Amino acid sequence: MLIRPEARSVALAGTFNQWSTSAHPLVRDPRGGWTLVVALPPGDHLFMYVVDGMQWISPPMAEDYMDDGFGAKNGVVIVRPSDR
Amino acid sequence: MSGPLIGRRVIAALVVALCGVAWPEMSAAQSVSASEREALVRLRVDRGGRAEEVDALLRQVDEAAAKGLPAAPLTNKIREGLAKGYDPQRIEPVVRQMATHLATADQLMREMAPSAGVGRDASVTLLAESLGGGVTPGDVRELGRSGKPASADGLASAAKGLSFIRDAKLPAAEGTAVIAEAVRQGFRSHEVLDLGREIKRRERDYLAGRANLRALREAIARGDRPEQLFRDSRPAAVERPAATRPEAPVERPERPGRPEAPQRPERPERTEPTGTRAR
Repeated sequence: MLIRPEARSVALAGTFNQWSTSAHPLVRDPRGGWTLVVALPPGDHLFMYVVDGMQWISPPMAEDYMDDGFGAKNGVVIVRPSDR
Repeated sequence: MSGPLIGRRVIAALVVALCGVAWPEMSAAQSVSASEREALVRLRVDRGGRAEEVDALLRQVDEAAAKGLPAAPLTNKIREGLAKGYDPQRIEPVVRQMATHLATADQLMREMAPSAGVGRDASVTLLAESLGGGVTPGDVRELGRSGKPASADGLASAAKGLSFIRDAKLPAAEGTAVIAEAVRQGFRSHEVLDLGREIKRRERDYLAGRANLRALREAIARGDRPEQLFRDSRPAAVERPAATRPEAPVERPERPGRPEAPQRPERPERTEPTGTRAR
């Protein structure tokens, strides 16, 4: 989830969608929060938010973070095996 | 000269000519499919760049693939860099360093898990990621010696678990001992990863001496299972130690005013670690 009332669009981009800025658009709620539920396979998935198609934002509430090598931090979402 | 022979020579010449025509494109992206290359080029061209810049990056992927290294993580990093709008000159050293880590990981895997079969590429990739996170080949060899990981996946997960401890700036030797013990006790790969992550989350406790890796290793050696470790006070995901917070400016949601925390009574000093739960 990302709070960005002034944004016109927010998308989720990461290793699960080849860093596409359009494949996973978030939905805005009336208070300016942007949300999306995505089903992912077990494993670690890196991601960032893309605001208005251009601005890449490190997710503020990710479970973990990893340097992207370019000076920013990708968020990490960890999907654990279901047998746990 | 017989007719069939001339025919064969003409066909051979045509094949050579066709190869000559096709060669420049093939050599630019042999380990990447044409559609994938096209998508990468589009990302660059849309930002005013040139296709040749992408081909120069893809040559690194080809070189790595020619050595038998996994190409996918390199292609993914190029895609990530281009999608984020970085110049190829900025992407190139990142990809080169990744290729170096992949080569080292591949060599370590040959040494320590030579029978790795299906899933080897994923293990090499994870091990390379660990090397990128500060784990040294010496650490990996030490894990192999003391923890005896049974598989490529086990070795890579152990190294990745250690990379979290390294990231938290905790002593590598003690971290290695903890991870090695977990492997010895039969922790599964994702449990080893979670162990490393949890230690990193509690970095402050370890650095301040409120918890210690030796006690944790002893708890694991006594047979505590992953779900028994840390179960008393799992921190919320948003209350992260400093080392896990992003350094780049990030957007944070507005927090509602926090209620005042009630005053807690002083805790009595501990005389000995309890041993049942490591923090």
